[in-house]
Amino acid sequence: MGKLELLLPKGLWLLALLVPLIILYILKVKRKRLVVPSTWLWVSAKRDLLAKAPFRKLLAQLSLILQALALILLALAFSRPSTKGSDLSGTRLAIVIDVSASMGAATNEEGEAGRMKTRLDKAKSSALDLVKGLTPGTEAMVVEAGRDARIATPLDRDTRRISAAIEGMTPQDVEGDLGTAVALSVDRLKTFDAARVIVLTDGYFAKPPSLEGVSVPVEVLTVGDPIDNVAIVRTDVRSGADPKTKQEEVQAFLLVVNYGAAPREAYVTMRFDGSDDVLASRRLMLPPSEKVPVVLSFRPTPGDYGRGLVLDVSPHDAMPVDDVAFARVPAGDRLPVLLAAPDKDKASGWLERALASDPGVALSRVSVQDLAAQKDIDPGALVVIDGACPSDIPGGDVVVVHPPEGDCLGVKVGPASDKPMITSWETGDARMRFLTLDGVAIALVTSGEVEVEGAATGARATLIPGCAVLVTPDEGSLRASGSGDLFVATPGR
Amino acid sequence: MSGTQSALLDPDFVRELEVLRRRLEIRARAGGAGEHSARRRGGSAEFQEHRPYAPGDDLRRIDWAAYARTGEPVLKVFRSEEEVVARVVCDGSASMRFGEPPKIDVARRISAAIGYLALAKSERAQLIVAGEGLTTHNLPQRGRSGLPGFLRQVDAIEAEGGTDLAKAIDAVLRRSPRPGLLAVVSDFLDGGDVLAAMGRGAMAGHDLVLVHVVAHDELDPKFDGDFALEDAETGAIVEVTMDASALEAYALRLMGLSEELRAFAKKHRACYVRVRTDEPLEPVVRRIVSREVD
Repeated sequence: MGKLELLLPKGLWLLALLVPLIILYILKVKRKRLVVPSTWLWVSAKRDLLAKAPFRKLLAQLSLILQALALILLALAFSRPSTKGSDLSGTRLAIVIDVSASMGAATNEEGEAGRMKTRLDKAKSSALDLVKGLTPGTEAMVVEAGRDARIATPLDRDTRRISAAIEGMTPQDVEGDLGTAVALSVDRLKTFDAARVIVLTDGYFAKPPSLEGVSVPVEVLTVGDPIDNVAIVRTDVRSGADPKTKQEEVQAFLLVVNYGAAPREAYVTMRFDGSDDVLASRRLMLPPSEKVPVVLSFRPTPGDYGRGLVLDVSPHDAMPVDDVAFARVPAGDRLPVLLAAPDKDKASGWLERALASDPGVALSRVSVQDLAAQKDIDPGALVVIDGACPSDIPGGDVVVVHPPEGDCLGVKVGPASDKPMITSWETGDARMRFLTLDGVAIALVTSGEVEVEGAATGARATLIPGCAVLVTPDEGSLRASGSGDLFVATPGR
Repeated sequence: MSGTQSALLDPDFVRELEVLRRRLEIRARAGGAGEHSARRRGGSAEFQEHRPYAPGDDLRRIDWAAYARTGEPVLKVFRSEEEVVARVVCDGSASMRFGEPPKIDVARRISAAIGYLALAKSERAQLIVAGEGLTTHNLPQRGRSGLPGFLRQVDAIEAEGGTDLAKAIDAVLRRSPRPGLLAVVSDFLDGGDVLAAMGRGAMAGHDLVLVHVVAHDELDPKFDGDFALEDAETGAIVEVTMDASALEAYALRLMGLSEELRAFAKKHRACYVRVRTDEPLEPVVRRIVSREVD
């Protein structure tokens, strides 16, 4: 409920009637008659009293109190008291609603279908009440304060549109920035004389907004009560070798914070996404307002790399959004690379040396014929095919080097070109992020291998349909001796 | 002693008065023979002292024998033994009806006591009843034989009507060219200029005794609430809301009245005694005889 205001303060002038009422009480006194020897001294004493106080002492009488009370109530009624929500006539109003993650916290008020209302539900309800209280002609705008400020609806007189914009708001898993939202509202309203900004928030700010000194009156209505919240505020999942067993181990580092005022007992568990089997679990005793680090680990199998991990702190509280964190199992400490050639012993020597020179690569060789029969290939493995283009390629990413002319994985490989010019390459792709092809030129292509002259050797790289083109060469000048171009593809994946 | 006398002066009280009568001294200039030594030195038989002759002195009073012995002219001074009148002005206004016992009863007994002391010393005693002026002006009684008459006059005092003590005192002074003891027994609840009138009495040579009779209820009124106070003498109404400040203001005024009377007594070497109606009278008469100022 908003602060009480008086729509017609002139009604309080009725309180002036209290003065004659009190005077009547001063005058209207039933006195007991008493015969005294002489009134001479009393007259003198009374004169002394009158010199000190012009009026006699007003005695508190029940009738006087009741009459004064009735008069005060009458004056209040005439002055039309109301809450601010119903006194928005002639103003331009900006309703700023906090949609940060904390607004998704449940309150102790039951909503529809037995679900507890969130703070945002209460904020929306208050905002809708404000909109209902708008008098015809009053304009209002709604601003959503998430990570960034967004105008949900500009200044409008249509309460239905305004209400629809309010009802459509949902909590976001972000830190809210009320300051920006308020600044935006003030900027839109500063040209109007009668303007007001009403902020609906739970008051939990990552960056407390500065509401002082703004040119438009800002009123903050707080929704929700303080809750005891436990949150996972940081996660980091890494893989490494156990120093004792020398076996690979995936470790999840978590930082858990108890924002409540009392100690909390909680359980932190780790499991694969989509699985109920717990990989690791820890019981925690969380002192109030303290951060507690937790390390959970498990030994991965080759198929675990890249799988989703769910990190959960339970029991869940009124703000469940920060009780769960998600991560992915990182690749192993060495990337499996499978070099496939028509003859596994006659693969490109420079290609093999180049791959083997990377200590993070676990290189193995296989013939193209045996490639499809390989069952234990890591799904995250990189497959490098030299001089062939089989149709069924297992593993993860695929690099086809020196593809034969013709169709290859849906790409029509053209004839070889001599000294092709690289005209552009994709810089936004993660695989090309740290690669520059400036100054790269193809000098000579011989059968089975590419000789590099200068900084590097470039070739035409074409992707299968549906994939992005990484390098675009000048086709007219592209030449290849022997069996053609280089391309990188991720067939069907 | 008659029934009336015994009502005013019980035997114990009389015994006390008999003791006190010898100590009663009236410091007034008066004429006639009597047991009192008047302040005015005169030509009666009792020699008092010699004093040096001063120009203008009566040559007939020079002690020629002493002059012959010393060569210095000296005058013989004699103590004058004159009969004085003790005038008792008793307030007989309606305000004297109040109190427990009534103030008028106390005033009657004190008047009777003063009259007894004077008459027992072979002086003259005169009772004047003051109301709105001089209500009753009795003739002076003389000696012990005049005591019954005096007491009857005292017993006949009724408390009724208004007060104008100043007027009464002035009337007494006009009718009494010879000064004497002038005792005023009253509650002094009079808005008139009583002190000025008594001052004129002092100037005329009267020896003043002020007996202030106060009722207990007047000293400590137990009122609370809104009252319309009716004056018992004038019927005037005064509306007062009795609260702590009103009672305090009244007490200050009463204290002021006593203080004025006390200051007057000190200034004119008079006696001032304040009597509560519920206190025994013997000590009061003792204080009067001792000419104390309460």
